[in-house]
Amino acid sequence: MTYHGNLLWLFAATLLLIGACSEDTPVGDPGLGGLDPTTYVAIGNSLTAGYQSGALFQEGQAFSFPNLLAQALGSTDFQQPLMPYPGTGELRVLETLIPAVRIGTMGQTQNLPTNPLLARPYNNLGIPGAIVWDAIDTSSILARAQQRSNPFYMFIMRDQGMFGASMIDQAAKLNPTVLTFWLGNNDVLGYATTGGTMGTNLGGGGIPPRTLPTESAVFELAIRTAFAKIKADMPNTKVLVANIPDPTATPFFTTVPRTLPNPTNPAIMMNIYYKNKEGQTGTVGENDFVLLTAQQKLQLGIGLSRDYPLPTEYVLDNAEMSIVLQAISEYNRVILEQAEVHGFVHVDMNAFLNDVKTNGYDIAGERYTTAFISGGMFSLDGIHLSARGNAVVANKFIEEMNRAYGANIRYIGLNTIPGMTAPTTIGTSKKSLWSLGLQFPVEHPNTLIGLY
Amino acid sequence: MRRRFLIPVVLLCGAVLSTSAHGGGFQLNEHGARAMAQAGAFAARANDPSAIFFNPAGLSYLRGAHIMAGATLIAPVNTYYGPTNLNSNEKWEMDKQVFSPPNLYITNTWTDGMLKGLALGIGVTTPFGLGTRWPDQWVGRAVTREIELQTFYVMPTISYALTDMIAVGVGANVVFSSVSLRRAVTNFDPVMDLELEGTGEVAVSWNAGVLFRPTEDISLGFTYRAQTDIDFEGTADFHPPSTLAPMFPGGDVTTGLNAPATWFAGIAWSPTENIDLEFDFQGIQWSAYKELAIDFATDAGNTPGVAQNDVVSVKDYEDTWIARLGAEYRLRGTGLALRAGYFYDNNPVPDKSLEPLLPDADRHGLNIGLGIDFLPSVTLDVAYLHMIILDRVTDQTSQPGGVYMDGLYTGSANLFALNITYAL
Repeated sequence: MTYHGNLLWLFAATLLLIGACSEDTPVGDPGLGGLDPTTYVAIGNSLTAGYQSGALFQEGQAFSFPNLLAQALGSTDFQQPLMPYPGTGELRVLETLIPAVRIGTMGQTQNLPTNPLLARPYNNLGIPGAIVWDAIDTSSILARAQQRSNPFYMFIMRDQGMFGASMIDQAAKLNPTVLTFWLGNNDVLGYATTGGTMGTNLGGGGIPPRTLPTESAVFELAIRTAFAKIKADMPNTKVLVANIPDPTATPFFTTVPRTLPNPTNPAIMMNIYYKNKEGQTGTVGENDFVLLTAQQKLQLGIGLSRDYPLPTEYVLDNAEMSIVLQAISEYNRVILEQAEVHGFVHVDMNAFLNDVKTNGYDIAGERYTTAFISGGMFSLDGIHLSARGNAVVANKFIEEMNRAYGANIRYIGLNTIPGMTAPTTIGTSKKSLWSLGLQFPVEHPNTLIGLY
Repeated sequence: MRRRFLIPVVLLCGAVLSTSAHGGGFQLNEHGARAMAQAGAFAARANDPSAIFFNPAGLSYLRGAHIMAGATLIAPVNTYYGPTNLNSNEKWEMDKQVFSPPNLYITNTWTDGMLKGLALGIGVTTPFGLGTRWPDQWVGRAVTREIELQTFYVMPTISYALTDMIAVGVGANVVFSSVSLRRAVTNFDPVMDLELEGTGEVAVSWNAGVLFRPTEDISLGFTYRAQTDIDFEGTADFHPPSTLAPMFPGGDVTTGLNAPATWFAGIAWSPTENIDLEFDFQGIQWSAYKELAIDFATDAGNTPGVAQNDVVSVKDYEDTWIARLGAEYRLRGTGLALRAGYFYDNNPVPDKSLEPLLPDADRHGLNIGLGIDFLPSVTLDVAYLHMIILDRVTDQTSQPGGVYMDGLYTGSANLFALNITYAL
């Protein structure tokens, strides 16, 4: 039997040997590299604030990308101006998806932050509606609030004497170890989301103010000044600056189709008519963008005949989109150039979101896209990110931090973040006449601009 | 163009019908303790009633009537580190489950008279099946929580020995099957739990084999089992919150599964009267498994307001092979046989189709076992197989056309088989 015994030994030894083989995991241990996460401050607009579905409210702010980032970094005491439900703005609520999307609102509300007496600036200095100039603007926030019908300056910056006159001053007060800067979106979206009817330009030389995107020269001056000030006031802070995304990567510009099926014969597609800025009526062409806010007009039949065209603020036509894209390309050139000058980490959010638009964002077995509602990344207003969209953006910042600072920070698992809140009611509305599949509540193009 | 509201339920059902840890893909090659102890290198001998599976021609060289019954206990262990899509090595262990697919063979071989050389038999076993279950809240819950596939092949078989040197056999395969699957649908808050359950329509296929014994100590076998296409009919239940119920009504679903054709070519050599050595090469035509299509009877294409939609999940499995080496040593005068074997199983799953439903990888099988004739007419066979599943790392996120769970998949499996054969 010894022969067989030997065989058995050999067999057992083989098993042991193989069992002892170590497992090489593909990702290294977590680490922060050269990053000190102690104090993180975010300067920005509604995208930084965590504004979602038309309002800034506590439940949305919990998933602002800076708050998610602070958690991922392990930053301490990251304070946001949390506003109790339904927050400040006009919160959209998904009423039903059947037979068509119906979105209601909680009406215009204003709720003070729950922590207005915090004896220092907020870490999240994202001010909905802020333009790039606000980063360095030391003028009275009360005056700005009144002039722009925007309560957020007061709610978030609060006391310019105690905390600092400009956003950057307030950030510096906190001695941040990490700073993210993402401003400038509103310098072009104010124009884009109103179909080219309103703007943020200073005007002059025969061009009226507030009719176009911020002048590139003004934008450049603001960025140069802001970045130089950040470098001067916070020389040891790790700074990441993100650039301006392409509006066509948001469902606000891409959800409503350019032609609609004829209700009596869906095989025949009908043109959409709109009035351009010059007052001429034309049909929506393949390079024009019908805004999400046009849904309700179309539902009423407005825009479906030459006699009743969509008003100009519902369509960003080809010429206007060219102005938008030209402005963005100039802004982004300045942001990149000045980030390099000051040694800031440049986060190319424009390229990133365009890639998501084209390919989707695949993460751990799930795919997210920029499609309205079904894509999972955008909130009910079609232009601000959902909780998961914020996580996608936070992950982009983490990716850049890992690359730039030799860190190895884990990404945020999107399925640990809540998806879109299920509708509040079962659909009872009649089948949509035009089979748009989408409806939108009464829109407020004139207030929208104040709310970015 | 109708604009319809669709939730692109990507990977809605994923690879519904897959399983893990036994043969590559969702194949199972352990159908008798005697064969398993020799790494399944058995087609050139097929000298027990499990010949119905391994090579029906072998029935002709048995003597008299036999009943063989047993089961294989399968205890897989799988661990996933990742997802690397999240830059994470988080460790997730598949729930430990033990499966016990049974097998039963009844045969009769006529050794004299008019019917000399004829054999009839019937067998029941499970060439495809089994399952995986991950913790309910695990990171890949949107891909899979649980899957179980069972097949039962009932195989009435006939074999005839043309001479002492050559025999042929053929069997019909009547296939019964069932499948169930569960995964999370995370698009909305609250998360839904999608359950699919289905029963296969009875499918019919066939297998055939030939056994050739040119000399006393050499034996050659070739056997082929045809592809089986199984159509499943069942129901889906999303367990939606009430406000989403009209969008996700679930209801009737159908799907299909291609159980691939497989063949064995084996050669056995007996250097002495009491030693058998056999080498088998098994080919599996996994390229038949191109996609998994799940059709909802009620879907976005035919019912306004419904978000559930048909899903086609591309599999593109590749043809593959298994090499098997086995040996049996019979101790003279003791009724005891010692067996051992080794196989190498080349997995059919391309990186792009690898997912935690079926965390497949190439594998080594180390086999050992013995047989005892503990009564004159009763034989007991036991076998143990330790399967080493090689570590596999996938990095597909950058590849177009799929949604991946990248990470490190590791695993192993222990299998125990026991069979009792009664010679009538």
